[in-house]
Amino acid sequence: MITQPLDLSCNTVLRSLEVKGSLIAESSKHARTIRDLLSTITSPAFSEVVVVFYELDVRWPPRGLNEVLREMYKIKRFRVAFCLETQEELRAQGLHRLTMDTGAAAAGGAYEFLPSPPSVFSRRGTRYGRL
Amino acid sequence: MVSPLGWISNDETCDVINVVSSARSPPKSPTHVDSNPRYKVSKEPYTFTNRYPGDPSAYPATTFRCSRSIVGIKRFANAVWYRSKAMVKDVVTHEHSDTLTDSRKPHWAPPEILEMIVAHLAYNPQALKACVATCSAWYNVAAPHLHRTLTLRQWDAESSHTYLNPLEYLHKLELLPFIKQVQFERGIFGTPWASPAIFDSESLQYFSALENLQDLAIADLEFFKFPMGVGEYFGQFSPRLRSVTLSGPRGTRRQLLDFFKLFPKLDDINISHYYTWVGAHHALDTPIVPIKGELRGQLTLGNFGDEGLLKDIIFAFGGIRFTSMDLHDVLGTQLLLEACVDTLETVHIHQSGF
Repeated sequence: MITQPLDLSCNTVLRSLEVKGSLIAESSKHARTIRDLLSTITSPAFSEVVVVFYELDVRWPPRGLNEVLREMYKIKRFRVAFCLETQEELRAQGLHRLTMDTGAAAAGGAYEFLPSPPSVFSRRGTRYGRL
Repeated sequence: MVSPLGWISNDETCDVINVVSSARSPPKSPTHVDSNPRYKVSKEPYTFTNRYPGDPSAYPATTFRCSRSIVGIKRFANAVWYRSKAMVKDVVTHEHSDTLTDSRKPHWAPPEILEMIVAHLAYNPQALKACVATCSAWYNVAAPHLHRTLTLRQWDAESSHTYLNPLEYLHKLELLPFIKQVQFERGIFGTPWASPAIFDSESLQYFSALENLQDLAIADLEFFKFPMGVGEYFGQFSPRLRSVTLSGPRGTRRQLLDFFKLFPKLDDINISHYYTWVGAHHALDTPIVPIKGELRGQLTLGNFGDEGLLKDIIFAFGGIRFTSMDLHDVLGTQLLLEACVDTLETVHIHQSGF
């Protein structure tokens, strides 16, 4: 649908860019597009990339995510936060698993290029689909 | 004279005293006893019933039946003496004790703390139901969470007049003011059901009782089924609605725009599965009259293919000031980014075409 590259250079108070975790890890084309988008950011307030996971993503954490983040970090400095979008019934279990996986990966040095290990939080799912 | 648990009259004419009191709230004056229905004075001969404070098993209730003999009078006098002594001790302890640590008093969390606790259960209906059944204090805190969202569904393909029956039930229970979000779910029989046929005068009256409604979500709203416009039905929410979600709406660009313009206080917009829909509409070519709008919350668009509607919204509301955008396969993404140059703080962009 989109043919022209997007440009965030006009957004002067942009603080956070959110990306879908499984997508940037599995699609090199999408990861490249996000890197291009990241390079357009000029906002002095920008400080964070939020990697959004969905319920199913947490059961199978995307491989190579840390490599994608490392490439992004070369373009611009930022903190990383992992966000779990889920329904309330599955929130506690999914958040626990994501926290454990992130902690294990950080302990193994997967995020050593970051100033601090990724933080983890959750929120209710966005309603893209039909009600 | 004051007993540990009640007032005992010294009036000799009152030769029969029966004091039954609550162990947790000893009276402090005779007038308290007189005005408190829990302290009963009966005319049953020579019966004195007392209950000590604290654990009932440790201080079992005692009943003295006093005869007119000397022994009986002595026993009665002893009972009065020891109870008076205990009462004095109780009053002294009560006056010098910290009310928060006094184990004989009921302990209630401050309302603010209770609200914080219950807020963590906001998405747990079973826990909220348990809370509202606990006591009136917990009911007052938990009920707004429990009845926050009203979901209207298509129950029966033939009984469209019953779809809004939940409004009637909630009105009878006086729960409508608690509702902050109304959802019209997608029809289970594959056909859109949010049409004028389901709205009668009674249901519109119930709509007006939704005095705290802030969030309206409608699936498959077919605007062309409302020849006189949707303002007659949803315009009642105009002064207070903050968020609108339209999933799979079917209508012209102008019809959607007129719908949004009903709500000048709107902060959040969520539209999904909408593409340019060209249909007959008498106002399609008339000039757009701008309103003084807000639109400074979150914009969520998914599978959205009408950039012209975005331009019209920007014009009609005198610009947009969204602080957060979640754009999933949207035609007009760059337009939106440039329209919120000074306000956009968080953006989530996902395009399948990448």
